[in-house]
Amino acid sequence: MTHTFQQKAFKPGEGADGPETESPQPDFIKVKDFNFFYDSTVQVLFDLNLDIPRQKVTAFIGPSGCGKSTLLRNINRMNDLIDGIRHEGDITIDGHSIFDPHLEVISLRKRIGMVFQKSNPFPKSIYENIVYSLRVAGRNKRSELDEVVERSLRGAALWDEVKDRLKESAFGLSGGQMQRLCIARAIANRPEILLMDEPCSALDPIATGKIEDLIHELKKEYTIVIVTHNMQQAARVSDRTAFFYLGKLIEYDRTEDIFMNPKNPQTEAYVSGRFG
Amino acid sequence: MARFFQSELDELRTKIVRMAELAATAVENALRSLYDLDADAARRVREDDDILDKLEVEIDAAANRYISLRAPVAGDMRLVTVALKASHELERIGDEASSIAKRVLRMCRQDAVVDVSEIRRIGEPALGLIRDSIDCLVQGDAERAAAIPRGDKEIDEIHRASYGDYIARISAEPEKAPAYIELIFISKSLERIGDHATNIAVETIYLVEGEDIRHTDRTKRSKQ
Repeated sequence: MTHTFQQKAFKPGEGADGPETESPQPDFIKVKDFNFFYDSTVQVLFDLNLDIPRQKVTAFIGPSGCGKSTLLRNINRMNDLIDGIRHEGDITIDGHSIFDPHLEVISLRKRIGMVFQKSNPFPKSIYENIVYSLRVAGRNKRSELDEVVERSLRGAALWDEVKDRLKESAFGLSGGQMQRLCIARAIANRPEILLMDEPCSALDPIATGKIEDLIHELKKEYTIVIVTHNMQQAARVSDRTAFFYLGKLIEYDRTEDIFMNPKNPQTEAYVSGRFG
Repeated sequence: MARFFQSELDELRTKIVRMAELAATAVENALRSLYDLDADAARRVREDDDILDKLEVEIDAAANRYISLRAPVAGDMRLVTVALKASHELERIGDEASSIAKRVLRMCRQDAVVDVSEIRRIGEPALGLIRDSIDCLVQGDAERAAAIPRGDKEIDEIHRASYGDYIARISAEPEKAPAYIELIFISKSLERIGDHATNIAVETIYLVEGEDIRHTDRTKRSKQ
């Protein structure tokens, strides 16, 4: 691709897609004085405080074992599945504690889609993968399911590639397509939040590029939190970046500040590849 | 932790330091050739300008390579972008020194003895300003760099004030007008050198603090 300095004409109100000037966004997810323990003695997260804005992409970065995935999995209470865990402090979504004893975890997870490092389609057709959660909830009306499948696959930029083979097994898709299928499945229930735990680490650069473009599109509708080891990916796709080390939040700021002028020397060492 | 690519950044720094030393020396030698009306010294300044030109190209290539292959961020990114800009400023300083030397050669041919005290008045602070700005860049001293624009403003004022003196001298000694006109251009070159020193100082502040102060109130304040 050849770059020129030719000016692109923009219509009034349409902006160049350059560095994002962050308009004030109400904080959507709030992590307050949060500590997390795998058992009564093993503390893995320490006094975390961060506010995640609505409809932005927030990246969690840091070396392996720094606690970024643990925090991510706390947001939808996936860690509840582990024996002996406990927490202190709170995480709120839209002002409501996710640890409220009256809150049903199922209702929380309906608001939050999750995409994992390795794509994990169900051993079913492409169509049935998307509608699985609706069927579990007893929603079997064909017209509704068809609408959800098309909307979700379009949302995951996969519709054009699979629309003629919806009844075929999901395992016949390529790695990148399977991951986009998982994203489509994650947004089928119209969640508000998408958690992504290293969603591109098993993908080639072309598939990675498609997922990154997709993330850029999805943030218009969803609040996205992504864990990534790929520094350039964090720089490309996120609006804010949080750097964790040994369970502590070292620095959290606008992504361009983290990558252009970080305040903490540890952050600088990490993002410039000199950590350790 | 020093990584394998650290040596490439070190090499870039070394080239900038070398270029800075050569640029300052070029201005010093150009001024001395004027004070001594030494044609040989003036010729050497013009010949040495080629080295600065080549270094600028080498720095551009090294910086572009580093950006392409290493994807620098944070302090590394600022170092590389400042290297690109500072090398351009230093090359321009070399060009001004070469231009001064070219005018010295003309004055040598004219064989006119003229008073160069006005050039000494602007030349010494201009040379001092370059040395200061280079020192700040090499040492990463943003605090001292912030004072450079004030020095540049003083040089601008000396240049403006000397213009009237040259006109008066041309009126008094019309047979020496060609030589005085050369001095006016030399004074202008030194004034421009002050501007380049200021640009290097501004880049130093960006390198150290990450703040781009160009066209901001901070730049205006630093000139007061």
